[in-house]
Amino acid sequence: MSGARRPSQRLRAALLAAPAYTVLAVLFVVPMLLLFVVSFWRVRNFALTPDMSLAAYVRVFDTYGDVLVSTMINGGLTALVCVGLGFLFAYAARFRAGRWGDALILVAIVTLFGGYLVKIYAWKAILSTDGFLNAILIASGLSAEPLDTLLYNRGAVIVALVHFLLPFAILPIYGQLRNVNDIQIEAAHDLGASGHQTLMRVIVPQCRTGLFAAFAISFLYAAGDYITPRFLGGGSGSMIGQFIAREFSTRFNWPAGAAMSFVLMAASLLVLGLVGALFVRRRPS
Amino acid sequence: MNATATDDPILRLAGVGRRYGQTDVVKDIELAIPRGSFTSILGPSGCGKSTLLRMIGGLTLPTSGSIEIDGEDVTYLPPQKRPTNTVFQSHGLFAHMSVRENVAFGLSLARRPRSEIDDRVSDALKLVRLDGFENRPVDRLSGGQQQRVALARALVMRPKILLLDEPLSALDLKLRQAMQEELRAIHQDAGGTFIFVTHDQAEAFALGDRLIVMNEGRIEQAGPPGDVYARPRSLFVADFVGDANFFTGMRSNGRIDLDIGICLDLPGPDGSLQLMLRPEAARLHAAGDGGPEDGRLGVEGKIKEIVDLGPFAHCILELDGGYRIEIAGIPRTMVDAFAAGNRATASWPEAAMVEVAP
Repeated sequence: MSGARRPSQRLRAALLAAPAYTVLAVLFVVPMLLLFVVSFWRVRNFALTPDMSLAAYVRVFDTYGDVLVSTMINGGLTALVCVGLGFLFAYAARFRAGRWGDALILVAIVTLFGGYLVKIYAWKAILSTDGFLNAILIASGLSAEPLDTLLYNRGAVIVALVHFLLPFAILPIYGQLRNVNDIQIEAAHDLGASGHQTLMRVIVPQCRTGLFAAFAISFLYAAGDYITPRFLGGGSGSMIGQFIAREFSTRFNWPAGAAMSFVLMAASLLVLGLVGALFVRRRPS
Repeated sequence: MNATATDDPILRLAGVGRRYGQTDVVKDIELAIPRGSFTSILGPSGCGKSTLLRMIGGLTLPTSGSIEIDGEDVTYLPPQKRPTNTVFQSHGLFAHMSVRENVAFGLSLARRPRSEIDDRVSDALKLVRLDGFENRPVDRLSGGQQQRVALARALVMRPKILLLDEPLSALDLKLRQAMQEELRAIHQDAGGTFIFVTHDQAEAFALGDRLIVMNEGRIEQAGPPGDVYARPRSLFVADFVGDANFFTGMRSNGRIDLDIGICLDLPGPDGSLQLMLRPEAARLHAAGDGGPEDGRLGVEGKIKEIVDLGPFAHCILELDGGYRIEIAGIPRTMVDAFAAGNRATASWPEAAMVEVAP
């Protein structure tokens, strides 16, 4: 049907793709390259000076090493919780909800309309010392004093991030679960598989890439976030995004900010690579 | 429904029914399947045949009655605990596994030793003529190959009963016929009891040594395929299994008067009745050839239509009262003697007429 492509067709394809490539190049590739160059510069008398210095990178590890580790932990835990809850939700929607499955997914997507800052403030209201959760704890007699340990830590940041990111984790998993047909599950039982064996040997292996996509989306977003930790973090809840934003905005130290960004990116890709090796199995050849 | 009962059937169903809401999809099935038989269950779609098969395999639970396999009550056992395996209509292969992994799935769950699994998997693949395909991903196989993998995956478990739920209906005609032949050969080589569900009459006859015809959740008739064809008990079976002419008439004192104007003797209760005649049981005589021999029933009419089907021809004879008789299997050498519009006589032996319940 297609036959050999004529040059005019190839030209047309190129023209159609051109706007997308242009946007990508101008808004993503070029700024990244500029930032990469800047990360080797220095700031002298509040002015950027071209240089070939690794000082900014050295400073990242000296000053922000522990924050970077903490960021990876927060991002990783957020992503794991998202994948776990996302799988449960997607599984329920696909296999337990019958014809209401798509409606459940729609509900999950609708929660995104609430916006992101609203969720942060909501969790602040729930977790603060005079908040909703403390009111319940005191009213029910589980605690005499309001707890001040609910907010401003790793837990608070992860809870809020999971709340926001869960729909993004559900979607790719649900998409792949829809490819697992009911006959496969009946066949597994018929061949002697228990419910658990069917789950682990037939269902989960067929949504590995969906699980990985869910992990990657939630991890990359969480690890790069700087709003949630600023409002709900502190101590173990601090994340490197906050400090990158500070280097760029209040300190005008672009080389430091740029170097931190690239270290964050490299660390994130490393984590994704390791997790990916676990999640994604090669197809039989 | 007395399925040619043997003393020691592999499968026994007693009063088995399945109700969904207010609808009885399967009603009060009594059935005994002989060990080692190849049974075809034939019926129109929605007749409950697949539900019946699923209840035998444990994929659907009955709402009444009991199911016994090899003397053991399995009525409420889950599929993984039954000595049955199923080949599904849309194969249900595990898309993330190779051919070998699919076939080995059940044995590895059963924790069989590695060497045994390897041997049995390669035997099963040889049986379905897919040796050499072990490492292929199943989604790169053709439809017929996929169905053969599904067959091997079930056969490798050596089930006491292999259940086949219209496994060939997605294949094209040539492939279907080839697979039917293979299935028969596999039944002979592998042994065991096969139950095959289909809505395709030709397939049911080609495969089974026993035939069960179902309609509206009930078994209409069970027996060897030839018997069911030659002596259908009901109008439904006569009509669903092959082609048939039906004649209405009245009986009094064992003498039947048919509306088409012929009489014959057949004992039974007085009243109105229906008789059936298979189209190929009748013979066609041209106007001048002397007509039917003695002892045969005959009616005269006008040839409405004659269709040359190649090896044989097919004719519709219109009688004077407006009744029509279909005659099949007219030898090709005789086709030239008949032409549409000419008068001719149809004849058949009295014994070819079978009374059918309405």
